[in-house]
Amino acid sequence: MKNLNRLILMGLLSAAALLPFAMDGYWLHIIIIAYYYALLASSWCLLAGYAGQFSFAHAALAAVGAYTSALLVLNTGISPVYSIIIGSFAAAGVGLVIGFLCLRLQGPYLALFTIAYSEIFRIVLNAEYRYTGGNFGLNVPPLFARESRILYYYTILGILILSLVVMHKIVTSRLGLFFRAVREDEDAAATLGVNVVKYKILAFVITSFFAGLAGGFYAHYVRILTPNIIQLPQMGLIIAMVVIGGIESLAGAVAGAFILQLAAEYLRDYEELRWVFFGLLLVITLRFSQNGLIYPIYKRLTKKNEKTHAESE
Amino acid sequence: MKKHMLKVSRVTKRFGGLTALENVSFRVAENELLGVIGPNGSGKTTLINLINGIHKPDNGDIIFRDMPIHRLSSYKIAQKGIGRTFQVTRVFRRMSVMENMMVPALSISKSGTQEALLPKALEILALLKIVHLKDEYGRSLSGGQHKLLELGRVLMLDPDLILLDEPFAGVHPELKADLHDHIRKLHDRGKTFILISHDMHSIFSLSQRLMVLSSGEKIAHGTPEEIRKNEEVIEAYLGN
Repeated sequence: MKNLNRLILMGLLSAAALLPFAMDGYWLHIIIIAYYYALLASSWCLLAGYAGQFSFAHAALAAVGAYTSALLVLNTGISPVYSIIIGSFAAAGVGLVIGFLCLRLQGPYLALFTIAYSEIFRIVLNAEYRYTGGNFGLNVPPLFARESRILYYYTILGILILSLVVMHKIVTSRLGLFFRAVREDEDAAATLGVNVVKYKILAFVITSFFAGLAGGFYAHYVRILTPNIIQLPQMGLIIAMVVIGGIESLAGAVAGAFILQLAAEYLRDYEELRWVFFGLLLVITLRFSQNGLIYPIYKRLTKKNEKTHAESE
Repeated sequence: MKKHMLKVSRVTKRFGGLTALENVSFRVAENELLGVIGPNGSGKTTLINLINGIHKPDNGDIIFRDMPIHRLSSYKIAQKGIGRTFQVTRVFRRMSVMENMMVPALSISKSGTQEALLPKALEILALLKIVHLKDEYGRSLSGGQHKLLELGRVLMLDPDLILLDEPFAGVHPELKADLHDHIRKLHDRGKTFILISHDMHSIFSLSQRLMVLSSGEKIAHGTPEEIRKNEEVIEAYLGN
C-alpha cells in the first residue's frame, strides 16, 4: 500500500516535471491556473474538510493576498517575491480577524458571515477604484522580468508542492487531530482538553496564508486584477473542486481542481452550460459519494493491489 | 479524615426564566464515589456541565483542589484533572477509535507523540474489552461501545475526578455489569467519581454517598441506606 502510494506520487511528480516539454503555451497556462486552484482547493479542504469551518471567504482571502502584493509593488517598488510573502501574511492576518469574529458561529451562520465579508470586500475594491482600479482592473507588474511561462509553471508547481507537504504534515500531526476533533464536536473536544478557540482561529490563519499565497502568485502571473476574483461563483468553483475530489483529502482536492479546470477548458464550446454540468456533477457527488469521486476509485485500486499482493504471497 | 477534592458552594444557574440549579452546595472527598439522583429536569446534568465548564454558574463557587474553576474554560478544567462522559454519547464519529483515544492523550501531553502514547491507549482499550475495534470509525460502533469508548477517552486524560452522566442508559445488561466492574476497579485505584444515573440498582450499589436533587434544589444527601429511608426523597423521586 505504501509502495503503491509512493509509486503514484513519483509518477505524478515526474509527469508534472516533464509537462512543460509536452504541451504548448496555451495548455501550459491552463495547467498553471489549475495549480492556482489546486492550492486554493487544498487549503479550503484543510479549513472546511478537516477543521469543519465552512467558510465562503477563501476567494476573498486570496484577493487580500493578490491586492496587497500588487499594491505593495506598485507603490513601494519592492520585489514581488517579498510582496507575495507579505500579502500571504496579510491574508493570514485577515483570517485571524475572521476566525476570531466567527468563534461562536457554525454552519449556515458562518457561511452567511463569510459571504457577507466577501461581498463587502468586493464592493470596497470596486468603490476604491482610485487605488485598486475597480472593475477596470489593476495592472500588476510581473513576477519575473523575463517573459517565460515555463518559469511561472515551475514556480507555482514548487509553491504547490511545498504547501501540500506543509498541509500534509499538519493533517497528520496533533494539530490535524485537534482540527478534526473540533469539527466533530466542539464541547466534547473541549472536555477532552482541546483549546477549541485556539484551534479554530489557527485553522483560519493557516489556510488564509495559503489562500493569500495563491492570490499573490495569481496577481503577478495574470497581471491584471479585478474584484471579479471574489465573485460567489469563484467560491462555488473551489467548493465544487473539493467536494468532487473528496472533502477530507488534500490529494482529492488537488485532483478535483485539475478535473474541473481541464473539463471547463474542454467544454468551453458549451459556454455557460458547462457550469450546469459541474453543478449536476456536484449534486450527484453529494448524493451518491460523499467522499468525493477520487477517493472511492483510489480505495478500489489499493484494495485490488492489496488482494494481488496477498495472493502472490 | 479524607481531604475534600471538590467543593461546590451555593451554586445557582438560570437559563432565561428557568432556574436549573438553586443554591446547591456539596463536597466530594478524595477517592469518594458520589451518586447524584433526581427526577428528569432536576438539574443533574446542569451540575456536571457547571463542574466541567460547559456552563458558567450565575452565583456560587466551584473549588477543585483549592483552586476556583468556575470561571475556567472546559479545556483548562480537563487539563487540571476533571474528565466527563455525556448522557447522549458524543464520540467523534468520523474518527477511528484510536484517534478518539489520542485526542485527550495529546491534549495533556504537550510533547508526547502518538507512537509514544499508543501502548497506554491499547492498554485502556484492552481493559474496556474494545481493543479489537481500535481501527473502526466511531460511527460504526454500537451505543454500548460508544459508552465504553467515552470512558476510555476520559481515562486517557488520566483525571483524578471523573463525572459520569448516565453511563448505564441504553446499555445491554452484560455490558452494564462490565461497566460496574470498570468503575469499581478505577475507584479502587484511587479515582474519584460523581455518578449520575436513573438506574437505581446501579447507583445504590456503587455509590458511597448519594445526593438527591429535585427542581434544581438539593433535597437530601447521605449514605444509600439513609436516602432509601428519607421521606422527602421517597415522595419526590423514589416512590414506594
